[in-house]
Amino acid sequence: MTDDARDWVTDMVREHYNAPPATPREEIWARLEERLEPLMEEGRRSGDGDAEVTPLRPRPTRAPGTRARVGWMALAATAVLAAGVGIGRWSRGAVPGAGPSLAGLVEERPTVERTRVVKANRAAAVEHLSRTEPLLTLVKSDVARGTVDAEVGEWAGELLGQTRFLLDSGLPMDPEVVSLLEDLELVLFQATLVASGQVDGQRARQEMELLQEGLLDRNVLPRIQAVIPTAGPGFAGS
Amino acid sequence: MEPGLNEAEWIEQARAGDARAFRRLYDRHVDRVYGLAYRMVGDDDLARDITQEAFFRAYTRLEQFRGDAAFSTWLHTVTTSVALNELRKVKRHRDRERDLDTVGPVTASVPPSSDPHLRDRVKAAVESLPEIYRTVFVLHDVEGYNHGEIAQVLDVAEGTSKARLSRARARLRDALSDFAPEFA
Repeated sequence: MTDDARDWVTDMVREHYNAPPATPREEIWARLEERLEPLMEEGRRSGDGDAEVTPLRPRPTRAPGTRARVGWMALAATAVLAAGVGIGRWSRGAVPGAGPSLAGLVEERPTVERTRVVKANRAAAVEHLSRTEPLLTLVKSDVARGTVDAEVGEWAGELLGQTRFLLDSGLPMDPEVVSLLEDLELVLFQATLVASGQVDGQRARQEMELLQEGLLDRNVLPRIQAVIPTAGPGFAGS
Repeated sequence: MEPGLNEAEWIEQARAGDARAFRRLYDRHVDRVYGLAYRMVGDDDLARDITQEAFFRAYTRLEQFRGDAAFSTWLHTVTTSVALNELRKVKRHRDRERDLDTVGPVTASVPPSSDPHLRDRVKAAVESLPEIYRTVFVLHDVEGYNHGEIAQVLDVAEGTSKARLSRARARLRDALSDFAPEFA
């Protein structure tokens, strides 16, 4: 099981450090189910029509005329969740013969619906941006000292992946947010690079200057602070 | 049942929106995911949130799972990432609140131990480790991952994992040396 010989300290910690109780699996599943239902519904609609799948719950019967409205609300809410976790599955367009995709609906109704989708995606992006604020504050402090701590670099690396995922999702977003995400991506990349120690000497100094430029000249941190709500981030994805 | 038996099928079915298939994946892996989350944060409510979030992310990212690594390894990578983010959030929150209130440890619901003093000392010692050491130590020595798995989960080299484990153990031996005779 392990690569190293274990000793008394391992036994002590195994016995006394955060021994988990029984898994509350049904309670967790019940909460998970509520969040998954809209996504699974979409997966079934956009997937293979011949596939036999089991829904989470029996589908409620909707009154005629309400389907489109309810569907749109679900799509908008799901877009927030999907973008929040970095998924862009709907951006790939409609599958022939399947239900409406986000992209398809946006093309059909380019005004009101698109505005709603852009707003929903903005909320997801803002949620992500709010998670980057404390990290950028640390990076700014580190840059002033002329170095970026390895732990800060690892954190930046994680957020870099999420930022790229949002950018690559193809979900419609307003240009201000896209521009901010692009500048953020650059700053996070440089912070990760500088902290990793993969560059040294002249190259390291250049990267540090670029990092400083990104933070100060492009005002990434103040721009993020300007768009995020003062209450701060909630639990990711909730 | 073999761990991989039917799992690939369940993953495909879950991708198509089959809830029963995803529930099977959930049932197979939830104990390990919750256990890992609890070991990392020591709080039942937070461990539940992390478990829920990990499975939610896993579902939404199933398209990205290509089977290069075991599904369990991939899922534990997601879990570790969520748990670390939550720990950082809690730490930031505690730092902000420290001046306003006396804040206890994150672990409010630790199961009782026969020796609370020892338990508290162990807890304090582990939590005083830098995050990068603590994570490797918990994954390896407490949860039983090998260095190859940790390297995948944390996206580091195996050598880095070994070095961090070695440093973590050294620090813990030092911090808990007065208990050594009881456990040696």
